[in-house]
Amino acid sequence: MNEVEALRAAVAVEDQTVYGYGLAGARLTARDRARALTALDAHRARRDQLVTALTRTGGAPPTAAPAYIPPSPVIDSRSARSLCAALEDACAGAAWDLAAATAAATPTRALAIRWLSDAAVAAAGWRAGSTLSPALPGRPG
Amino acid sequence: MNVLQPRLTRRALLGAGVVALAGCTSRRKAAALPQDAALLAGARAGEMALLASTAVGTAEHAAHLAHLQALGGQPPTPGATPKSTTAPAYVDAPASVEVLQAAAGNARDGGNAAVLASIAASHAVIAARLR
Repeated sequence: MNEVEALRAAVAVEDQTVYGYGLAGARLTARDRARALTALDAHRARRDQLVTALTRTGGAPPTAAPAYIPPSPVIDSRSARSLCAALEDACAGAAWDLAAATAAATPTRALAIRWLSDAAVAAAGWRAGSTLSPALPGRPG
Repeated sequence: MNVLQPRLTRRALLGAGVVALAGCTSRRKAAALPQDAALLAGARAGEMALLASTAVGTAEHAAHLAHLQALGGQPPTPGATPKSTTAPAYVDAPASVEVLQAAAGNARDGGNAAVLASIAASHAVIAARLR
């Protein structure tokens, strides 16, 4: 995967994540809902950063779908939290790919590195001890 | 209609119109390219230091063992004399995050960068838990 492909994949994952947090947020309450809204803003900002990086490389951003189907029904706060954790895992995966596809000491490499840590910490927060965090967040396989 | 390209499906979570299929690529250990050798050696020594400071059987110990192996290191053998003379790049997980992120930023090989960034992310999770 080259840098343009990794950036396009990253934008697509953030499009899904923004949609997914909207979906999950509707089923969350109180502190979790506030956390989801904060995450939604952060992911929108990250998507914009990725689009800027992609445009800089000459690539065209993928078009977001009008709607996405979650891997399992989001019917209550538990399933909403599970979706949020899975969304962050997907971000960690895309960040891994982006880190691997970029050159040393570039702004896009730095963006990928921060994104990977943010996604791993957020995923662990949504799991809240219910499942062990992966030893190597984002690693394929 | 599936708007996700096949290349994207490994990281796809939500299906656009249809549920995307998940694939998988092979796992990867850090490659000891000459230009990254010092970064990897410092991280390996750091993981050895963290292994020595965490209790065997805990999730944290298992994580550091996985980190060491991903860096191309071998788990320590009881009673064996350590061969490495490299100073650890870090000795505690919270302080290691920035060190590892900087190493990931400077790694010449993209695969090494991803491994170092992922270990930094794992240590950030541990640090968040300790707070």
